[in-house]
Amino acid sequence: MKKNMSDYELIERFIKGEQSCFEHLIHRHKNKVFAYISLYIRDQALAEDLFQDTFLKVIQSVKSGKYYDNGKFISWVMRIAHNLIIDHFRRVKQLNTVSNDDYESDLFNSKKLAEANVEDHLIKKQIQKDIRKLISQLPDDQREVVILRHYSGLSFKEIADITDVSINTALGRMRYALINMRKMMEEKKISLTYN
Amino acid sequence: MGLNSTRLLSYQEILVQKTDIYDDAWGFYPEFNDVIKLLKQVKKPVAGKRLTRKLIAKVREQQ
Repeated sequence: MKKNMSDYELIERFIKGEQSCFEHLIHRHKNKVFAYISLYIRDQALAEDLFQDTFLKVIQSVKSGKYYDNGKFISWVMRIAHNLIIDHFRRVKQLNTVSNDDYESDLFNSKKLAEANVEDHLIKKQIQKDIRKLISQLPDDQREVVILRHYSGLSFKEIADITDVSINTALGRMRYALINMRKMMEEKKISLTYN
Repeated sequence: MGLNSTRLLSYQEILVQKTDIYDDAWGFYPEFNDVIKLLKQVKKPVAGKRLTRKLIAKVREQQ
């Protein structure tokens, strides 16, 4: 039954005391939020912390009446995640600690690749690392659109809401991002050597 | 008349649920197929069961 409820209906019920409704929202949106955070934060443990902080902040805001539904719940949640990521980078900058690159905790280390041979595994790992590097070299606004569309699976309408631009601007950013990525692929001679 | 023609598809036959109409209208897939294929090689990170359970436990604690 909850499956057919809108985000707003679930929030309404959660406010009235139905705890399980928020849990349903978590299940509905967790992968979009986690993918977004993980593509920015390479340290897995830190990404998990920010993921949890995002939803805990959502609860606080909902309970304190700071959320007004306009049919854009996921856009609002992603904006909270975005702000937590920005806060994190600000903190790191202030503390002048090691750069995020130094964590280099590869998300794919945890994947079991028992059946793939070592060479395939290494090639795959290298390609994934190269692609992530290409994404990280895109200008911020273009990188955000790529991550939100391809890894969080959001629609352009949702991306436009989150990034606070028109749909045409979001589409334009995606186009530039893809053009830039192709240029970088050519410059760095990255190709699909693993399938 | 002996002419070959393509059967007309009804709207219901076209799978559009997973298609973003803007993606489609701007033709990203046909034009940037190579880049998109590359992007798809990076698997989407997912919030696993352990992490989800941990989060739900924290949410329950807050109640």
